Amino acid sequence: MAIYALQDIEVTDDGDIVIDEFGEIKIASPLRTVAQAIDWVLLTNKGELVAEPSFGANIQSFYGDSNIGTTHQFMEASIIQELGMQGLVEIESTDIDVVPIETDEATILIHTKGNFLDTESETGAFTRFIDQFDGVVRAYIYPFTSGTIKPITT
Amino acid sequence: MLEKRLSTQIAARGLRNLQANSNITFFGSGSIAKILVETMAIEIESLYDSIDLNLSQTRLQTASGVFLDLIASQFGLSRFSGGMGSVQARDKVVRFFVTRGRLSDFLGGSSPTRGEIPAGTEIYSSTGITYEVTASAVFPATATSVWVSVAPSDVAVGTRANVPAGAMNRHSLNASVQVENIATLILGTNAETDDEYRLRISQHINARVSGSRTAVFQAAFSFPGVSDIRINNFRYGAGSFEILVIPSTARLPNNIIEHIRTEVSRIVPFGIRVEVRGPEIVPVNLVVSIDMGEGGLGETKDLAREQVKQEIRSYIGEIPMGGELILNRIRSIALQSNSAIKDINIQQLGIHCRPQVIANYSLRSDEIFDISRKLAEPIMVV
Repeated sequence: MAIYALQDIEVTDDGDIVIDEFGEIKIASPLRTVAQAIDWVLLTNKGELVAEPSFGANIQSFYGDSNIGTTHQFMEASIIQELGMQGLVEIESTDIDVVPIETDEATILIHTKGNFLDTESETGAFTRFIDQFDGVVRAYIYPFTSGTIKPITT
Repeated sequence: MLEKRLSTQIAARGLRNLQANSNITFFGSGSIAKILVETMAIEIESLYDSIDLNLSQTRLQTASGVFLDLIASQFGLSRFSGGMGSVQARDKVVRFFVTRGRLSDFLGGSSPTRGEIPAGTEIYSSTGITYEVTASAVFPATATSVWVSVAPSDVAVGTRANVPAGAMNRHSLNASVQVENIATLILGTNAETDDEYRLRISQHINARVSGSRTAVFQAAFSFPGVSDIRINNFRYGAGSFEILVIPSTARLPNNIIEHIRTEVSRIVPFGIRVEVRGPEIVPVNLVVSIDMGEGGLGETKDLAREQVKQEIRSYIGEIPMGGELILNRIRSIALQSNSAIKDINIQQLGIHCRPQVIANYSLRSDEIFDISRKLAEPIMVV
């Protein structure tokens, strides 16, 4: 089971930088850092990042495809390949499911389990997330008619 | 000079700083911190380009285009936009003539005793440039040749309007009348290039000291057709000098000398005498006979004579000031001008319209050859 201890600048689900109670840029927990990184991969198409043109899951390329099982399998494979290539998550402990919810829409669910550093703990302990709804859980809606993926925020 | 840094170098340094001085530890692909730093690095790299460009445009040596115009405006200078002059009948450069009969036989005028070449008559050069007669030329009924004033029809052609001697050979009037320009026409100037403009600005800094050598050179070179100038100090005693203007062609139009004189007089201090003149013209005329053997068409022989005439005229036009007329050179170019010519004989050489011993002729240092303009046919090929 992978260990996640790296931390990034924290942003909201809308992409805004979070400022803490001291007026400083907030540093995200490892759990949140992985969630943000997965968001970036899913919401980015190849070529959009000038500094890293090859970065992104390129979900927009499924625009106009049929909302059927074969397409869902291709989407899952594409996402897992990109996440693995970037080394963001351990593939073996990450589940990706693309599930149709309308005739032209599907939900993308990503669940990553592992040991995440508890930055609130003074001893530097790791918290183990291995249950069905523990760890990093991200969900997106993908309309095949527009090709624009949207995160589902809670 | 500014040392440019690439966005990758800027980003790498920024990320190293963040790594050392913050709690951020995730800098892999998808890192917010990395994306922010890289985005700014790309902007800073383009800023380096912009600063580099703008710095280079503030220096005279490297500025170009409108930036050069801005520098020049600080000295009260503006870029020459190019222009077009004209040649006057009194300059005796372009003429209509006939080899048989009289001009008035083909070009009648309003009176039986006079003929006329109307203004607007077009003359075409072999280089594809059209000139126009700018003022109507009236001539007596007995004339066989008349000089005309001309200017290019299209003023936008720049230096393409400049044509070598003999290049203007067709016109819009009666085909029995011939036309020729006996000297090279240098009337057009192109818009000033960045390099020319840069040189003028740098010279202007020295030329602002009125009366300096640079100021005199700049004043003289402001006009087309000037190849070089020679300054003869103390030509008329202490406190005097003479400017000898060396033209690109044999003869400078009189108005150019006048313009240079006016321009130089503005910068020469009070009490200093200055004279401006062109080289001494040495008129030359030749009679040449060619041998083309027996038989052959008359037209072929006429064409060969015309070609020999043009080649000799070009050769004389190319002899520099202070140069030498070499008769063997004339024989050589005449023989090469048409393969039908078997032999050539120079029968007469005239300098200042006086017969000379047929031998090479050397000029003094301030003399230049020109085709004699007093004779109807200065280069006669028989």
